[in-house]
Amino acid sequence: MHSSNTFNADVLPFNLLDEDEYTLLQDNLDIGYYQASEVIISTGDVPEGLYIILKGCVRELDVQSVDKRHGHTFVHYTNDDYFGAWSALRGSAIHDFVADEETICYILPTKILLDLIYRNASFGGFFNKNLSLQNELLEQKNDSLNMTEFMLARIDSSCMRDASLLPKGTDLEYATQFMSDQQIDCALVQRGKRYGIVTRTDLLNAIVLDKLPVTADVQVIANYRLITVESGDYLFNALILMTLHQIDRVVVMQGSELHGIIDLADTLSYFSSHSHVVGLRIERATSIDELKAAAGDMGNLIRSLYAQGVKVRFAMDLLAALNKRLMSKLFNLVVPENVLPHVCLVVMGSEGRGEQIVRIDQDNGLIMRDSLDWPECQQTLEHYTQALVGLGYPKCPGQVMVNNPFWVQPISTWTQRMRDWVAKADSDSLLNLAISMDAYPVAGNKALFKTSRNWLLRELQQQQRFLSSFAEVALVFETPLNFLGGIRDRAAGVDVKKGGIFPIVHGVRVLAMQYQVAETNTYKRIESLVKLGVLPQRLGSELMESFSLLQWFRLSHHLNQQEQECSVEDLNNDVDLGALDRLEKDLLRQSFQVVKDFKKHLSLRYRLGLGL
Amino acid sequence: MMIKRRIRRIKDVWKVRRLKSRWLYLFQPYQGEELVSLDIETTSLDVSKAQILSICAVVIKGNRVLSSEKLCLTLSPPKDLPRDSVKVHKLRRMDLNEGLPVVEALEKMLKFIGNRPIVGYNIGYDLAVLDRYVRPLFDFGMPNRYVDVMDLYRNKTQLTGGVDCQINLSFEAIAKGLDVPVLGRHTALGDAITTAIIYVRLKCSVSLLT
Repeated sequence: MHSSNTFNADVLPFNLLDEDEYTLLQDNLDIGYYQASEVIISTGDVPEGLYIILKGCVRELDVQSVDKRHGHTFVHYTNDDYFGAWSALRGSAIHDFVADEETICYILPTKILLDLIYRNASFGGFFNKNLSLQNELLEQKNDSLNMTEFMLARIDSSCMRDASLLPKGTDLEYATQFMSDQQIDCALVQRGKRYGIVTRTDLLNAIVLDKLPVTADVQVIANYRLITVESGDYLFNALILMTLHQIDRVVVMQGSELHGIIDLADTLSYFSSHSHVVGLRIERATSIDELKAAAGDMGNLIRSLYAQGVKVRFAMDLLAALNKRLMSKLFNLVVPENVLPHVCLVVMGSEGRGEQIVRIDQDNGLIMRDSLDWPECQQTLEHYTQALVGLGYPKCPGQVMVNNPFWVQPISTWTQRMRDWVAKADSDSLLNLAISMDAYPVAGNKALFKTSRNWLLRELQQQQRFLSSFAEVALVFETPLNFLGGIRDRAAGVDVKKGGIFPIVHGVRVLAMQYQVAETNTYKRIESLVKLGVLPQRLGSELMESFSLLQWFRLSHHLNQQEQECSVEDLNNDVDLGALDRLEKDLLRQSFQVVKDFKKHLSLRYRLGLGL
Repeated sequence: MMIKRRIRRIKDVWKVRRLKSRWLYLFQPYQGEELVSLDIETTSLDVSKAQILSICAVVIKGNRVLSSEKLCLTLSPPKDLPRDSVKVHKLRRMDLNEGLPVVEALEKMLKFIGNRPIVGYNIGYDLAVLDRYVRPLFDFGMPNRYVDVMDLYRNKTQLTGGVDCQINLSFEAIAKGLDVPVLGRHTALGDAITTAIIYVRLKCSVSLLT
């Protein structure tokens, strides 16, 4: 009987629940009443569950700031907003939640929340999205955590097979029969206290090549130099051992006791789309087809990283590393070995900064040694570009690719051209310069690239006037904030790239050029600039935080679009405000505010008209 | 009427003790910190004629309204269901057809409330109607101590300088005066929860004391 229901379920995510789930929710809600400035959840507490505000206002505060009394408020929650979901799922609160005024909240116990998440996939998905965002909020506080999460799988019975031990005095015939019956391709034998391994290949070689009689003792052909790992060690270490020794299986021991065998195939399927395996597969690939398989895994990797709530910066680093390895491997496969020392493949733009997560385009170029004689150059590079497209890197709409002779130049022309661009400083030149400044070498002779980069950094130092007109580009797009500091909403959505990501990237790039910071990654550039005292510490960390959040919004928007079968060319950066909940909107607004502050900072530094 | 109730309750205690009734525990003084917010929907505002349609109760503990720990009972429909009352509580005959027999419902209610004090708005009316039902069946009236949020509200506002005749004591006015959202007005559960929130607000709020 709905007339007795009091909880408003018309708002996200509760309108995703069906009748039964709604009843379950309704039956388990309590109501709490809090005074103004009463702490509802304090950091580190085990929260009772999810809080939904019936009336009132609640602030989410950074724990360190509570002592200082004027803390960093992340979000304000008001009527019908919910909070504490992540804290509840995580088991302990990451921030303080304080009532701003007298507040009445519904409280949904964690257990019921989990039930609902488990029962209703779309309801669960809503909180999952929130989880990645919250992780983004956790900032740089525990950087090491994410890295280890991937390698946390340990060697236990779930990933190893039982070791089959052949009885003493087994002959070759019986051993072959045994392995065939058991459907295994290796078995262990014992000689004294030592274990040895016999594989099917060993048996084959013994009988066919060494012409041993089938009655020979299997002990004779076994290999006693076992590669072993300890039970409980990281599975990843087993993988490294296999790669190192070029073997397909390792034996698991506990002390001197035999525990089992780990097979390469099992390990790979265990890690499936894990980053390290993708890396290994790239490394092991000997043909373009094998690379293609590895590249295919990377798509899943992005999704799983996002779903696990891995921070954007980490995901970027990881994918950039993999992308670079993949491109370098492909380059080495395509370009003849005698040419390699005389050329250097550079990636530019977002790829050069290592900030591409969803592959949007390939921006690359080739720097050659002066007077290199390589007649098949154009043909080979065209092949390379096509192969990259085949691996899932779409063509660059601006034709910044090695199949375009414009971006394949001897080092002297490469540098001279940059000087021309600086002198000319029209929009095309500025665009080309911006792209080249983010160049990063991935394959070939990296010394060629370093020469050109050092030249550029030196050259630009003397071009103060140019730098200031270059900086002005960062102010070209308006920050989508209205007069009152709210987000200005367009029907199409809010463009997070033009409105936020681009100004940060470009502004930081100009500063990096002026102060000769050789890094290309925006985070690293900011860190270096802070260290040099160019950027105030506070602005620097706010910039990095906002940059991460904006990238997070962009990534989640792109993944959403991809889910709706949107082709790469049609991906846009227009985030729909209507689909965001209160937390997300507030964070987006704060990020734009930081962008605005940064623009102001640039304007003052380079004496630009305050075209905010 | 209050004094009459008191005297009757003393008689009830004496009777229940003598009979060693299984309901004796309802008359024990309550030691805990919980209360029960109670509301009933009836067919009329006249105590002598009103028929109970539904009974709802939620537990209050400290600054919490434990709406997950609630009682919601619909009674089987009375012989006459006045047209005007249906407009208020929106319970049609068909909504009541799956209701509980009166005895069963009242037993459940008595067990749920136990000896905890009752909170209600204009609770005297609800108790009087319940008494009329309970007494013939169990041979005692509603045994619980009770608090009326109307009285609490009147006292609080008088303390802060309000004059009695100026205070609007309607349910909506109290809710509005305390800035408490009214949930599902004229459903027993909604009213019971709202009353409970009003009680917590009146008891816990620092700002109202000053």
